[in-house]
Amino acid sequence: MTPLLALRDLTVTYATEAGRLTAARAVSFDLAAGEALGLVGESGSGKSTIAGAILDLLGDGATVEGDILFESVDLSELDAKRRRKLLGHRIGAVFQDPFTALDPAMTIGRQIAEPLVEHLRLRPKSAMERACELLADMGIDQPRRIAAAYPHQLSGGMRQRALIAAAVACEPPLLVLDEPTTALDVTVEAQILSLLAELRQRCCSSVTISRSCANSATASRCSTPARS
Amino acid sequence: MRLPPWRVILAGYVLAGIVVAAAGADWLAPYPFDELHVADRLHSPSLAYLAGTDEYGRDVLSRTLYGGRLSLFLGVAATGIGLAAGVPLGLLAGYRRGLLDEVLMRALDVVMSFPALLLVLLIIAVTPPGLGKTAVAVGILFVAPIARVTRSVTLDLVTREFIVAARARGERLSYILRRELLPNAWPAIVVEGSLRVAFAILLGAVLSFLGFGVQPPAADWGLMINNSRDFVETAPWLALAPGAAMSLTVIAVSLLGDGLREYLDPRLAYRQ
Repeated sequence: MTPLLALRDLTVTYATEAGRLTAARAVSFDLAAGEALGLVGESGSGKSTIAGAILDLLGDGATVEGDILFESVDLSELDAKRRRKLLGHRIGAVFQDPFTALDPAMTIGRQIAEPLVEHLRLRPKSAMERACELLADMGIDQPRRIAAAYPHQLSGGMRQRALIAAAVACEPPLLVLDEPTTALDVTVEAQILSLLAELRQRCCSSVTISRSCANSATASRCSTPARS
Repeated sequence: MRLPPWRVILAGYVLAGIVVAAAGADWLAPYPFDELHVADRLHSPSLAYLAGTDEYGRDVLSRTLYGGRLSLFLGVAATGIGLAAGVPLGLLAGYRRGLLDEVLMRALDVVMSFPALLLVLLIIAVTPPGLGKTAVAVGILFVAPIARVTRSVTLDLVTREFIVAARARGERLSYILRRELLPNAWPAIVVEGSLRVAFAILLGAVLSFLGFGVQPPAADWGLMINNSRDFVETAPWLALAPGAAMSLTVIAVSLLGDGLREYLDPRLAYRQ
């Protein structure tokens, strides 16, 4: 069976003033459908760089070598438009800081509904209905009230739930979680982790990036990038 | 829906009043703007001439009302042109960076390194004078500073995680510019825009004074104030009506802009 996501000798270098800096060297792994992989490592070990490479967020300063195969398609060979269509649709992402990852000038509901409009071509109204359902799925009471709220009106845990709802809105087969609980306190962290574990059971594979093994406990397999 | 703060409502009414007064000058003005009352030259404010008369015996109040049309048009049209071109350019340059940003910003540097007046004169000199032409010239001049301000706000915004998150959701460029960057850059743009309205009216005054903008016997506020210089000691009321109208407009526009910024910003607290 072909893996859902496969990295083959992924090497990422950044151009810095002090010369080229290698952030990730020859990273390879396979992720089968339904599997959950944890990438655990210290700060600066290149975890987030790997996530950034998968999500095509590294920008012009970074050079990505090697192959990233998603559903047997090499992402680096896709043109920008087709790659963009994968993001949010087939690959969902959750970032570490729920306090900055939500647009402060847009209601929660619209931010969750947006990928549905963009990728699934839902009408804004039905996308908003779906966003409320998603919020309810994330264990949020009064989803309608929360959907009409702005990010600053919610707690960190609520915001992270909203971000997860936005990431899974299009039911992507792959979730990339970049330290999804780092910015949260321990009790909320436990809630979010169990929510993620539940999502994993239901639908998708995931790559979770974390600094501590405890956070990756829900992963079925762990891998540690060594600092080079 | 919450009510806008009282300052916004007040500023809105004042501005609406000024616009209505200027638009309805045909009915409101006691005299035609160019009617001469030679016997009553430099008449101080009285019941017959509420704001006095100028050196040709023309009613200052009537001229102020009619002049408002020209000044308001210039302020709004020039700022509108500047915003329409400057904001998209600034957003794009700030978001995309790279060569586009570099070329655009250096081009704007060149534009901004010329004195404003010289540049407007250059644009106007090529074509016959006219208010529409002046508005376009001033508007073009405004593109540079507005794009600058927009870009600098955008530069700060693009590093925020919610823009990265929008890219990770696979949003298209136009969505990120319109829905993510613009609303967050809006406060700065509104403030810049309201300042520009005032600046356009003032620049229009200078142009009229030099004979490039409004042609006599018509006069906008700026030209009336400029003309009153010679009579400051003998007939100080000449500057009073147009000056008050101009100040009121500028203050109302800034208050409206500033209040709208607060009103539109969901983070500021007087909702719920």
